[in-house]
Amino acid sequence: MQDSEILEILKIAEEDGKWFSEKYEELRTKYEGKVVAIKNKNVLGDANSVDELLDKVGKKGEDVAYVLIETIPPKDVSFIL
Amino acid sequence: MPRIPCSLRALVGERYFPFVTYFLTSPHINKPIDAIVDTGSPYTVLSTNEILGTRMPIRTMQRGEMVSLAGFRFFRYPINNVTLKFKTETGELFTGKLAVIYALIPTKIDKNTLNDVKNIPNIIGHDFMEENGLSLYFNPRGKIVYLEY
Repeated sequence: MQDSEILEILKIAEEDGKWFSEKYEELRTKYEGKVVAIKNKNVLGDANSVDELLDKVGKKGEDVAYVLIETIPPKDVSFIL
Repeated sequence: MPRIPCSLRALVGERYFPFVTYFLTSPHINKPIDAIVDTGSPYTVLSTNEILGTRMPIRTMQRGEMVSLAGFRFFRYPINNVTLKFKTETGELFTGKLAVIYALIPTKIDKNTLNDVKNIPNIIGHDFMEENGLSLYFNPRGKIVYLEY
């Protein structure tokens, strides 16, 4: 893969990550406890597990390799790495 | 010194943590990865969710040394000779190499365990930073975070 392609993929992934962070509270209200797929600042789908989510996103014809997958833990869950 | 911009991302609770996006190149995985920069982690790892997202057969990956993280036990399955590419603040690529990155594979694979570990993120650890001469600037109050090389 060319560097220019990688830079473009990284740019989109970073923008989606930033969007997820900015919208976190709003998204948590809607998708608490779920796994969500994000692309181009949109939630493509949500599910209880990654497998289920991949099936949903795949059926929409998306390449799952280039979709941001994030989890939204319940509000009362916390852990120390 | 040249910089790699990072972002502040909610992980759990109200606090924000330093995250960076990179492009992983390996024999089996070529994709962008979002990872927390954790100088307290000796290893750079791919989360269970990330591995599930690649459709790699995780049940056959239950080998390697064991590691405990966030109260869960994992095998750290080695993926050798990986390249991590980052976008710099000047829009170029910084390429770092790592002899091995580890996939976090739960010692027990069932629905409940996969649900419990799904919040554990990908991690850029001490190993990658040391081997590639990176340092982290993290100012949570000022909301400033970047890697320097």
